[in-house]
Amino acid sequence: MMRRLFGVCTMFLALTLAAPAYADENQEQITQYRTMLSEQDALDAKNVAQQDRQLAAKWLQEAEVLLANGDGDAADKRLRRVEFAIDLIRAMVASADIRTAAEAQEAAAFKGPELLEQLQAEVDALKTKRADLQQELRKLQ
Amino acid sequence: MKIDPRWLFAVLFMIACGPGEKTTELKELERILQDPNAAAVKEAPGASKPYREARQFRRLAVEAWDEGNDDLSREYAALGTLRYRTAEAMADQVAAKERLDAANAKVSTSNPEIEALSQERNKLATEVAQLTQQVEIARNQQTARLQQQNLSNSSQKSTDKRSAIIAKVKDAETAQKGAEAVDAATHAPEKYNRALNMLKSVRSTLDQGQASDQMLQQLSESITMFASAKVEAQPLFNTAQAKSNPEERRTQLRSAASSKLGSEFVISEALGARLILPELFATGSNSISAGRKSYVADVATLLSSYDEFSVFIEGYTSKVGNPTENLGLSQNRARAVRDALTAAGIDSSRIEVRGYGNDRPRYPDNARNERVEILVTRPN
Repeated sequence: MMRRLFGVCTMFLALTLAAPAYADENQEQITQYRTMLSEQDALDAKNVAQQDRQLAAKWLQEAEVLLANGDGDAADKRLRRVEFAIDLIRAMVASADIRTAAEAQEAAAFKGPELLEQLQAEVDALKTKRADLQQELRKLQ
Repeated sequence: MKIDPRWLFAVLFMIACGPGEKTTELKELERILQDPNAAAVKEAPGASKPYREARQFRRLAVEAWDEGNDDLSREYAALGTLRYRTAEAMADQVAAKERLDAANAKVSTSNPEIEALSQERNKLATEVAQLTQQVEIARNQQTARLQQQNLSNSSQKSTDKRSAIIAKVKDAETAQKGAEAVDAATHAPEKYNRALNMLKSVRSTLDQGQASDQMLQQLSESITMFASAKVEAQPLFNTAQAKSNPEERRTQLRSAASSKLGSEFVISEALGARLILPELFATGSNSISAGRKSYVADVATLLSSYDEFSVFIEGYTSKVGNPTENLGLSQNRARAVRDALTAAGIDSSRIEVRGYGNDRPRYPDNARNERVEILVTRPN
């Protein structure tokens, strides 16, 4: 009889203590995700993932509300969506960055001959000017 | 074969009661997974894991749908869609990376040449900048040399001109002294002052460090003007000088009077001379005889030259007539001469008149005693 009573008490204590610990963990995760979204917002120069960020922010807020209402399962689902959404956003922003770099390099490659021509003209003009200045300097001295 | 109607009913019931239409989320997930692009996504390096996860979520969503749990099916489908899109983004990264590599390769082909030209341009630009600076310095030095040269020439010219002006100033000062020697400031004030002002003006300008041809010209005019003032002042100065010696003046007066009137009509007095004008009037008349008016004019000329002398006009008559009347007549005669002299320009304040009547006859002849005597004196 005593053993059964001890078991019941142990289970009661475990459940009472575990529930707040579980809630704290989720709250910490929400904060972490919010920071991540904010970082991605700063990195997304071309706003390629704006809609997904807004969606993730909405889910995050829903998770917070659900958590506050004690609906831990529903909050977990929202947080999982947010986790996947952050992965997606990172991939999209990285992709956009690489594409931007590629476009810049393509433009540079395209302008290569033009740049060569421009540099050659500058070099020729500078040579002429150098010769003129040398001649004037000789006269002045 | 005979089919039991109960079995047929059971099969139809099961079909009717089976899962309904798939959720929108699941349909969307299935659509994107069946898209031809999905194969490329699947093969892309790094994208295979999220792709597999997307497929797993699709399976779970279908299972949930099969079990009639639409909410769970939606959830799995949404997660699967997110994973597929992540896989797609990763595949896109790979494509973009390939594109970047290709562009880098192109750039690196032309880069060495660009790099070489850039270096050459930079080197030339540096050289040109240095040369520009050297030329600028050389130009400034040349300008400074020219300015120094010009300044030197100008300074020499200026010094020469200044010396000439200083020499001319000395000449003008000499001329000024000459004019002052005859008291030109008093006797020819207009010319003297004009000359002096010109000289002062040149001196002032010279003190300010200026030297010009105009100053030389002004000095020349000043010298001329001083000389002219000297000429103008000379006789007046001589007169003034003479006036300063009374005895000499008296002697001069006597001499001048003798030469004008005749020595017998001039009597030396202690302080001057007495001029005798006999037969100046007709008997009983106080009007100067027409033939004698020239005597009075001569006297007027003489008196104007000796303007520092006082004049005493003494009227006389002959013995003819009443002595009392003669006294009045003699006074009128003295006044008549005074008026004539005044009319000739002699200041009346110098003149005093007296009448002596028929007293003091000078001549035995009555006619000659109808006379006037003028005493011209100057005290010491």
